[in-house]
Amino acid sequence: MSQAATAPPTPTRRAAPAAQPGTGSVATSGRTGSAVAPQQGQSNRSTPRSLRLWTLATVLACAVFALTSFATMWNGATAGAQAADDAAQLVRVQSIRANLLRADSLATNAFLVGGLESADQRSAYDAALEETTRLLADAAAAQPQDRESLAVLNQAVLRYAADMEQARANNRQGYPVGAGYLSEASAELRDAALPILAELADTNKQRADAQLAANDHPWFELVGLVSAAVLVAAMWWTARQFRRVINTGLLVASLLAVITLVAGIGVLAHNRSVSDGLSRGDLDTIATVGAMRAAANEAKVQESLRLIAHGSGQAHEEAWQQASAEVTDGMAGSGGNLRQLWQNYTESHRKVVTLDQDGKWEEAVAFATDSDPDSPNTTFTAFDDEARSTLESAADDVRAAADQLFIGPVLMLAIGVPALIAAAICAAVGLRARLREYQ
Amino acid sequence: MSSPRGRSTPIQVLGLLLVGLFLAACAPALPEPPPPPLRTTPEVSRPPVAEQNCTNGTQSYEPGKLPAPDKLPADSTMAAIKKRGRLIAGVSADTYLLGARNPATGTIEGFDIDFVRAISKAIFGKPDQYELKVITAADRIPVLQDKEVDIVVRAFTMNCERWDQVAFSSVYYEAGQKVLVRAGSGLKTLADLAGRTVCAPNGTSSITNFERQVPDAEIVAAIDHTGCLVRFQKGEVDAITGDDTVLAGLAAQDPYAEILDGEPFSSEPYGVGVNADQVDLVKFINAKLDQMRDNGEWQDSYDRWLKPALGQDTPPEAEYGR
Repeated sequence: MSQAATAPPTPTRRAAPAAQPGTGSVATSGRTGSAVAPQQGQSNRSTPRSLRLWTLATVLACAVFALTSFATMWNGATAGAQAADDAAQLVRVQSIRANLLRADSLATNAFLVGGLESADQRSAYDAALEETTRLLADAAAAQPQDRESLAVLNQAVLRYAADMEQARANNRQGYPVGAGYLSEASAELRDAALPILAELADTNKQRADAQLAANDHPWFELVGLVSAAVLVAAMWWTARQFRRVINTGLLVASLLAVITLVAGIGVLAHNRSVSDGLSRGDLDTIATVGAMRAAANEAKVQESLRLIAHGSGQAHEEAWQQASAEVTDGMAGSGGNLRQLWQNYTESHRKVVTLDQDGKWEEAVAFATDSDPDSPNTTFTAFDDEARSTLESAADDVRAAADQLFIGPVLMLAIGVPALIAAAICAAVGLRARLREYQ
Repeated sequence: MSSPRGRSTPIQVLGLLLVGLFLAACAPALPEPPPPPLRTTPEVSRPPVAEQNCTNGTQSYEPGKLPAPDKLPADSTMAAIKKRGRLIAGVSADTYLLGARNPATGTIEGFDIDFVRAISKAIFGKPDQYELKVITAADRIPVLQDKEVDIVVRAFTMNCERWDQVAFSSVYYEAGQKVLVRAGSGLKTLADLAGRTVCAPNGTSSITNFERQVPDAEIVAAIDHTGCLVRFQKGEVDAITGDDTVLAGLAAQDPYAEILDGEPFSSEPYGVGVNADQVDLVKFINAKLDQMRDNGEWQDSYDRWLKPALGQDTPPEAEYGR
């Protein structure tokens, strides 16, 4: 490796010059290349020292670049997986929120029906709560940082479920205190559970965004360029100093550094593009559709509460309008099918409002609780199912994209980093060959 | 050349420092999880103490004629209601025995609702030509003043201050404030409630009435009496105070609750609330109430809803003179 590409000049033994202050131990070296014969005196004596400094500089440049590559690619490889985990946690949190509101919506709707609630609604309520419980356990296992909040949330969910059971038990006995427990459960959900879920959704979205932005800094490119520049400068200096154009070791080191730099820039550019696409695409979809689904279920709850209020539901209608506006805002610029499905439900809801306002409360309740194709229950379920499907699809896309984020950095860790270590060795060996000429 | 070992040590140290630096620099700053929210208890709101600056708080207008539904005076409020096609009444939907939604049928029923049905029958000839609006205690006066409803039949106590804002029919029931406690709790008298937690609907005169009797008790507010029963059953309060009619409804829903023996410590004469300008409607309702007192309709309703909990009673005597 230390052999130059062109025929090396035969070193000429000279009388060892007296050591000079400032030249260090190299002054004791008596050898130098004949090609550098014009370099005499002080400058001649400093050449070995300069060689050592260039050796240190090139090895250090390669080492720093290797470390930077390692750190950047390691973060890149783990950030993709972490972002996928955070996105999955975001989906869980949004699903818990939607499931709880779905359960509340089913329970309040069932309260409107005289007599026993339908077995289907009861079954759907139980399924929504069971799904919530499972998601809570999954979420706690998946993200240790969320455990404290999830534990508080779990207590709120337990209190909600207990109050709802009391509401049902009293309702079955014909006691109006059942409605009191329904209100208590509803307050528990809105005062204790939903604020935690909203915060958890924001936190996990920020986490995922932070992971996807992990490689947005230009350290790899900057350090890579500086390292390549140092290697090229070393080649230029040796070529000039020893009148031999090519030092094989330095050339190989430079090539390895440049190839690693170009490959790394390509990997990072690809990953940044995928990350940006995720942040603005599927991850954003998960956040907005999840929030939209929660707002939609809240609107459905308010529709039932409006009728339970029996002619005095204006406050609930205002809450419905607010929740509906959140759904509509969430669909801005997207949500083609969702938009139509929400429009269908909105029309069903308007019919409920019209009947109630016209003093036909019984008819409004009958329409709000049946399962005709144009009833609020049917049109809302169509919207909710579509929203859930959109969420699941976005979550799958995030997982697939996260796999793409993983491949490039891992290849760089497997090939690029060892190549840079090899570059450091090549540079050292190449310069050492020149140094030997002085010994 | 110096020893490689001697040179490599600082490089290694530098390398380790750089690794740490870069890993730290490259690792994203992750947000902390949210702190759990705190639940708050509603603050107790006390209504201003009503100054009884009159002595005729329970007096209403002399009853008018009770024409047949097809002979209502053309310009009367009753005719306007008939033209609309339904009587609109503000009621409670969670005061068991007075006005509460029957979960089995989904309809609101009770002692108060029977008066709505009676007035509907007087106007339309049919007892079910009405629309109920569920209102809170605090809504009773505003919905009448804004003419959102024609009548309010919701345990509405007549007093001088309210007469300045709305009009009332003659008294249709004479209630009184009492206290509900847990059976076997050892609480026997009002004095035993000193230092105990007692629930009452927020913003009602029940709070100020009770505090006058037991100043050392701790008042806990709820949105309504049903909210109080929820807190009572959860063990968050020791007692509930309110009108005996309301407490009878609560006791009927909980076999482990009982009303303290003794005379009520306040008088709560219930009247049907009407907009202050619609005196013709008040006189019409008074005529109907007189008829109900005389023909046994009042007694039938009382016996059905309140007698099992409150015992035998007769219609209160009507007072007129306005």
